[in-house]
Amino acid sequence: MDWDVIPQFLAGGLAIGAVYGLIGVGFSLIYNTSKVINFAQGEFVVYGGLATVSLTAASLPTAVAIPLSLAASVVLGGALQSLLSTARRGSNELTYIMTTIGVAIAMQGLAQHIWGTDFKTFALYSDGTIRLMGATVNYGTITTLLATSTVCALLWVFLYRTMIGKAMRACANDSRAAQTIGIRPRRMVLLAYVASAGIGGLAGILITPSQMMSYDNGVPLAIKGFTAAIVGGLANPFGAVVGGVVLGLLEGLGVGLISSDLQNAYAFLSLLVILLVRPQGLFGRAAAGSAR
Amino acid sequence: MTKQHHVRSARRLLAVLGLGVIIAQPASAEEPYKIGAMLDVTGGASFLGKPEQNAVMLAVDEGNQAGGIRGRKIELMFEDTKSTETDTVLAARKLINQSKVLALIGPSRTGGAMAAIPIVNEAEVALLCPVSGIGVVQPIVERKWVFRPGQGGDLSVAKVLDYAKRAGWKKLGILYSADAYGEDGRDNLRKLAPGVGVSLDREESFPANSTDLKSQLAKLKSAGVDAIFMHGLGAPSVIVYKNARELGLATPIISGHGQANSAFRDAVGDAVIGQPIVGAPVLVWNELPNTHPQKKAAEAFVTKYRARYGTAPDMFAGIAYDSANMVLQAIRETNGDPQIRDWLENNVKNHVGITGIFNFTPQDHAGLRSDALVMMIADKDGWRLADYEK
Amino acid sequence: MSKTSGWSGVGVRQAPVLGILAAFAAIPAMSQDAYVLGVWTFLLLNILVVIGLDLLLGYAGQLSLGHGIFVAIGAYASGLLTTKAGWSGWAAMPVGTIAASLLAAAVAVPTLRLRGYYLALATLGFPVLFDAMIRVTSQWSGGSSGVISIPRLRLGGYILRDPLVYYYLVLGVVAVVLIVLWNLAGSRLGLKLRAIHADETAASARGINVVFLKASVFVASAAIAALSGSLYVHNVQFVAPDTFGLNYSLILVIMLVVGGMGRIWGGILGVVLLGWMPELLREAATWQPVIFGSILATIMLFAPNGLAGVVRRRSFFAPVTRKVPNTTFHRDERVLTVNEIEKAFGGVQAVTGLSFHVDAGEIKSIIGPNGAGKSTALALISGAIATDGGTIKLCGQSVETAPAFKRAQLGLGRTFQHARLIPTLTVYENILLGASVLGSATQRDEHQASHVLQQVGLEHVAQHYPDQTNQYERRLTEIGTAFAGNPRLLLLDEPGAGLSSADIEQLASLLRELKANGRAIVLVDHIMSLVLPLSDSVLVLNSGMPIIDSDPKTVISDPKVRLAYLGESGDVHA
Repeated sequence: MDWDVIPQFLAGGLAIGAVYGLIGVGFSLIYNTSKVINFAQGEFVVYGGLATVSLTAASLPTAVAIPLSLAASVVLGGALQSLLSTARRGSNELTYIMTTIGVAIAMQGLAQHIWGTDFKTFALYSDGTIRLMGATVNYGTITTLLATSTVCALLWVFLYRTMIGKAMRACANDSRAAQTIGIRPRRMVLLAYVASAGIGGLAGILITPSQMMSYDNGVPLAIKGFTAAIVGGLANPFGAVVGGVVLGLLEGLGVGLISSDLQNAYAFLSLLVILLVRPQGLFGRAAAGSAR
Repeated sequence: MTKQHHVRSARRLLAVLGLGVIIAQPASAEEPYKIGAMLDVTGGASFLGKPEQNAVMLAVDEGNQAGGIRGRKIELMFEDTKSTETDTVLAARKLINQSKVLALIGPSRTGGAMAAIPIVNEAEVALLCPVSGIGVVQPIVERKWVFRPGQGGDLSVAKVLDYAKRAGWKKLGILYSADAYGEDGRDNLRKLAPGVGVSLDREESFPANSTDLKSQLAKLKSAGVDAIFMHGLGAPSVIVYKNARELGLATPIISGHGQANSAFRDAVGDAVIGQPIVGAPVLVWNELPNTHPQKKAAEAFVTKYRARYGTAPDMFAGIAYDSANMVLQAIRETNGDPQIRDWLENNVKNHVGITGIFNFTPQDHAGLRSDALVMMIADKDGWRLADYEK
Repeated sequence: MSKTSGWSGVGVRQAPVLGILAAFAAIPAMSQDAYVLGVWTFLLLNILVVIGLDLLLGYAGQLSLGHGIFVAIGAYASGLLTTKAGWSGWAAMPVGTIAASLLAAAVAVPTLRLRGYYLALATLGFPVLFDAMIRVTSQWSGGSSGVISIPRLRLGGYILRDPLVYYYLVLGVVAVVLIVLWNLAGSRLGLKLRAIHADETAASARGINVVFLKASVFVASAAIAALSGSLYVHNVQFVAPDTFGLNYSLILVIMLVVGGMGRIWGGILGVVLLGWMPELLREAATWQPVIFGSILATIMLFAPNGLAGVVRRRSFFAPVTRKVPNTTFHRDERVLTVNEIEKAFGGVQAVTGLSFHVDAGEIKSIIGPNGAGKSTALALISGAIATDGGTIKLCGQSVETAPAFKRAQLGLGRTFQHARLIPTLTVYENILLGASVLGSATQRDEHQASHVLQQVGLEHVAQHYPDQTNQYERRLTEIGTAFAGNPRLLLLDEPGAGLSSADIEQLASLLRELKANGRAIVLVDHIMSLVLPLSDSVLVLNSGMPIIDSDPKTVISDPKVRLAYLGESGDVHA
C-alpha cells in the first residue's frame, strides 16, 4: 500500500460526501416540518442539473441558466407540497412515503421524455486543479465544498437568526404549540419544500459538470442523501451534512484501503452500524423511543 | 406452426378444386414471416437498446422494400426488455409462444441474454444476441441455439493485448464496472494476458453509479502499471478520463468497446484526446483503406442510418443490423422453416457484415475474430484509426 | 348477534380466499397460451411474496424496503445448490427458506426494538449489500453474470416443464400459504398485529409482546419470500444479483399499498392490476413510468388505504352469550407497592421520590395540577417508560425492570389519558384484545370479553369501529379493554375527561362494582365529583413530588394542597 495516496482518497470522499450532505439537508428540512420522507428529493437534483444543461445548450450564460434552473426547482418543490397537501384524512407516514415514491417515478419518466436517456453535462468551472496536502483537488470539488459551506451558513443564519427561521424550528419541535402562538405550519411546510428543492437543484448543478447527469440518477442519489440524513440524525439538517461527509470519507477510504468491489456497500454498512449503536443518528435527539 | 400449415394446405386444396380465382390473393397478403426483437430500449441499457432497435427496423424495412421474401412480407415483432432479466424472460416467451417468431434478436446486455438462454434452448428457436459476454455461447453444448454476432470482451481484450505488446507495455491494470460486462472483461484479461507475456498487476472496479474514481486511479497509479484497460459502461467511464486528467495521470487508459458510441464521445470531450480505444471499423469507415472488406458495407449502412435517424450509428447498431440481415438471409435460404439455426451454424462463412466477417461453426457461435476490431485514437472531433491499422 | 362466533362459521369465513383461489384455478380455462400462463405464474409468485409482506406491513406495520433480498436468497440457494452441488430442487428449497429466516431474525433483533420505520432503513441497503456479496464470492456464486442452467423441478422421472403444470404447482403453494395467512390474520394474532400497527404502547399495555411478534412476522414473511424465489428459479432457470434488487423490492411495496394493506386480498388485487398494466399500456410504452407513478401518487393521496381500503373489514369475532361469573379477589391483599421511584426527562425531574401502595378493593386517586407528573407516574408503574430509580412491586413481584407486556400479563390493566383504542379493530375486538392475556383455551378470552361488553353496556356497538361511536362509548370501551384481562390492578388516567355528569355517575358506579370485586384501582383525574366520593385515599403530586397521601377529607382541607394545587382562590371546583 502506498500511503501517500490516502489524501487523494480523502479528497474524493469529501467531494462526494458534501453532495450527499446537500441532498440529505433536503430530507431533513422536509421531514422536520412535515414528517414526510420525500423520496422525490433525488429528482430535484436531476432536474436542477439537466435544466441547466438545456439552458446552457440554448446558449444562455451560466450566470443566467443557474438562477433559472434553481427557480424551476423551487417551483417544483412548491408544486410537490401543494400536491401532498391535497391528501385525504387517513394519510400517514407510509402513504406520504409512497406518494413521494410515485412522484419520483413519474418525474423520472418525464425526465426521460424531456432529456432522453444519454448522460449529459455542461461546463461550469475550468478544468484546473490545485495540490492540497498531497491530494489533487479540482476546481469542481472546491466549488462544491464552497457552495456546501455557503448553504450551511445561510441555513444557519436563516434558522437561528431570522424570525421566520425560528418559527420553522418551533414548528418542527411542536407544530400544535407553534400554531397556538400564531405560526402557520402550512406556510412553514411549504417553505421547507421550496428550500429543499432549491438545495437539491443546486446539488444537481454542482455535480453535473464533473459527474454527468442522466434522467435515472435520482433514485441512487436520493438513497445516498437519505442515508446521509439518517447517519447524521434526521432531526438536524446540519447533522445531514456531517453524515454526508462521513459517508463520503468512508467510501473514499474504503475504496482506497479495502476494496473497490464494495464501493456502494460501505455507505449501507455504516448505516447498519449507526442504526445498531445510535439509532437517532450522530446528531439526532433521542426521538426514537424504545418499544418495551 | 400447425395452424399456419392447416391454413396453407386448405388453401392449396381449394386452389386445386378450381376455386383459386375466388381466394387468390396477392402473394404479399400471405402471412408474413415473423422475426422477434427484444431489446433494452428503456432502463439502464437503453443507450444500447435504442440504436439496436433502430438498426433492426432499418434492416426489416429494407427487406420489405426489396419485396420481402418470396413475396411474403417480413414482420418485426418487438418487445422492450426494460434492461431487466424478468422482463427479458417474459419478452422471449411472448415472442416465441404468442407471436410465433422464427428467430430472436436481443437482448442488449449479457445478463438479459443469460436469462433468455434456457427459454430458447427449450423452445428451440435461434437467438442472436448483440452482447459482449462470451458466456452466452460457451460452453457450446448448452448454448446450441444462441449466437453472438458481435465483438465481445474476449475479442476486444485480445485486440488490446496485441496493441499493448506493440506499444511495449508489460504491466497492465484493469478498471472495470461491477457488472456482467465489466467482469467479463476482467476474466478475459486474466485468461489471455499471461499468454502474450503481459502481467495484470492490479484490478479495480467501480459500481455503475460511481461519481468519483480518483481513489481507484490513484491505486492503479501507485501500482506502477504501464497502461490501464478500462472496461465499463455509462457515466463512470467518462468520469475516469476527467479524473485522470485532474490527477495529471500520465498512464495511458485504453478504453474497451463499450465506449464506442457518440454519447460517450460527446460527454467526455477533450479529456480523452490521445487515448486509445478498441472498436468496430464502422466508426472510422471513411479512414479504412479502400481494400478493406467492410468499407463499402459500412459506408452504405452509415449513410442510410444517418438519413433515417439523423445520427451516426454506433457499433451496437451495426451488430444488430448484421444480426437482422443474417436472420433474413437464413429465412430466405431455408424456405422459412425452423432450420434457421442449422443454416446459421453451417452456412455463415466469410459473411461480410457491417461489423466484421462472420464465420459460425458448430463449435463456435461467436462468429468474429479480433480482426473485426480496430484500435483507434481519440482526436479532437472523434476517433481516427491507429496508424498501424492503416 | 348469533349465539357462538356468529357468521364466522368455516364456510363463510373461508369464502373470500376460496373464491380467489377458484378464480385463479379457472384462468387456464380461458387461455392455455404458454406466455399468458407464464405471466400468471409470475403474478402468483409475486402474490406469494406480497401476502407475506402484507402480514409484515399491513398487519404489523413494519416496512421492509429490501424485501426482494429474501426472494433472492431463496432463488440463489436453489440455483447454487442444484447447479454447483447437484442437489435436488426440493432439497434446496428449505435451505433457502431457512437462510432467509435466519437473516431476517438477525436483522429483526436490533431494529425491531425501535419504533418507526427503522426496519425500512436497515433493509434499504440490502440489495446493494447482497450484490456486493455475490460479486466478492463470484468464484462460486457466478458473480454479476448470475447462475444459469438451473434445472427444473422433477417429480420422479417427470420434469415439471409444462407451463400449465407449473402454474398449478405454484397455485398449490399459494393456496396453502394464502389459507394459512388468511386464518392467521383473522385470528387473535391478526388482532394483536393490528394493535401493534396502530399503537405499540397500547398494545404492550394489553399484554402483547410487541418485539417478539414483530420479529416473528418478519421472519415468516422472509421465509415465504424465499419460497417464492425458489419456485421462480426452477421456472426461469436463471437468476442474477439484480433480478430481485431495489426496483423489485419497491414494486412489491407499491403493489401492496395500491391494492390495500392489511386485507390479504388487497395485495392480490394490487399484484394483478399492476402486473397486467404494462400489457394494457402497450401503446403508451415510453409513458408507462409517468402513468405508473401518477397512479401510485393519486391512490395514496385520495385512497390512503389502497383500493381494498374502500370496503371496511368485516370482523371474524362476535360476542358470545356464555355467562361468566365475576372474578372476585381477596380483599386487603397488597397489590401494588411503589417505593421511591424517579424519572427525569432531559434536565426536568418529572417524578421524584414517589412511594405509595394500593390494596385489593381499594381506590387510590392521584391528583395534582397539570404537569405534576401524574401521567408519568402511571407510565412508570405500567412500564410504558423505564424508571431512573426506585422499586415497584406488583402482587409481590418486583417489576421495575419488566417490560410493559410482562406487567400486563402479571395482572396490570390501564387506560390512557387520550383514549388509545385501536381504530382498525371493532369495539368488541378491542375488548377481546384486552382479554387476550387470559389465553384462548376453551375460548376463555371470548367469554370474558363478551361478559365485559355487557358489563360496560356496549353490546349495541360491539361490531362498530371506534370512529363510529361517541366519546362516552369510546371511554367505556377503553375501560372495558383495561379490565377485560381480569387485572388485579387497574390504572385509570382521566377516565372522566369530557364526559357529562350523567355519564360520570354511571362511570362511578362501574368503578364501585370493580372495587367491590376486589380490584385495586389507581385513579388519576381532575374531576373532584368523581374522585372524592370514590377514593379510599388521595395522593397529591406537585412538580413530580408527593405532598400528601391521606383520606379525601384530610387532603382537601390541607393548606399545602390548597396552595399548590387549588391555587390562590382556594376554590374546589367540581
